[in-house]
Amino acid sequence: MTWLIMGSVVAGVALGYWVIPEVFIIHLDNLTTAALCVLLLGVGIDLGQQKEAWVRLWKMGWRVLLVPIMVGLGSLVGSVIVGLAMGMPVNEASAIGAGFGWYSLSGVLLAKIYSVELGALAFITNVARELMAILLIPVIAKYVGKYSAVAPGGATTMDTTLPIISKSTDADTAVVAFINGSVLSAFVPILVPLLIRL
Amino acid sequence: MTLILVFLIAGFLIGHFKLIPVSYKLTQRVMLFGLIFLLMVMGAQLGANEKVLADFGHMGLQAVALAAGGVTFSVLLVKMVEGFIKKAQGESQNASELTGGNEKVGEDN
Repeated sequence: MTWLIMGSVVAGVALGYWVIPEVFIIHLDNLTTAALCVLLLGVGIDLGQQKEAWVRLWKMGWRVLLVPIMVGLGSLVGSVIVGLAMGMPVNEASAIGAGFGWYSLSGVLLAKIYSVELGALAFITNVARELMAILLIPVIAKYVGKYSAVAPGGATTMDTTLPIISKSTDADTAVVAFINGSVLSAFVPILVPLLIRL
Repeated sequence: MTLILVFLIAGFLIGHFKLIPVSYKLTQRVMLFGLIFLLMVMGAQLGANEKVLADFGHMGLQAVALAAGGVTFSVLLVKMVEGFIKKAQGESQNASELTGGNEKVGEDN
């Protein structure tokens, strides 16, 4: 899946550089809007079908929600602080941070509703976050804490980084990670467009 | 923004209440098709923009710094509440064990 996503971007770059005339790319706007709507409808159906995650959340108690709240808050604060240090506007830095590691969705959302440059930066930033998560989860689980090991993965803790968390921690933390990923994933398509308009 | 929310909420309602009999496989395929198309268009827009391509190295550094900032602060904030969550979970576990124990006593009687 990761290779398919990367391959699509690389193929697109090659097509844009060598094959497709720029005039044609500009006129793709209606088609990309339709594709985005289809994608978001699919994301919504996917989230709506995940009743299991909400049942698990109910069983574990409301305090477990503190994990996605802190991960979300930390992602936004960290991105804004680093962004400001690099001279980036708050809305751009926070919208990138609100991708929570979901690079494909945050990248295409920002490319469509704001600018292709920021979409590309969101894509690379969130790819970097996932790679960092893969490397850091076992280390954080060992030296910092089990719940803290859930933090680097962001929204990816319900799929791609879940096996690593499960292996590095225990069954309870894996459930918390799944809930964390589900909650943050639900907020990516809401927060990214909201924050970019600040 | 409105368009995004409308489609997202419509999808959530369809998925949650099973308003349309869509299979998980079909949803995944439609999403994958939409995603690949949008990523290719984003790539094509990047490829056609020589200024962005020339700035790609700088963009990579910015991306790593932003990702590191997000990861660092996420870990710090979760670490701050980790003890509280574990303590609360321990208390509720003890309480449920106590309740379970009483029920057993009742059953024995």
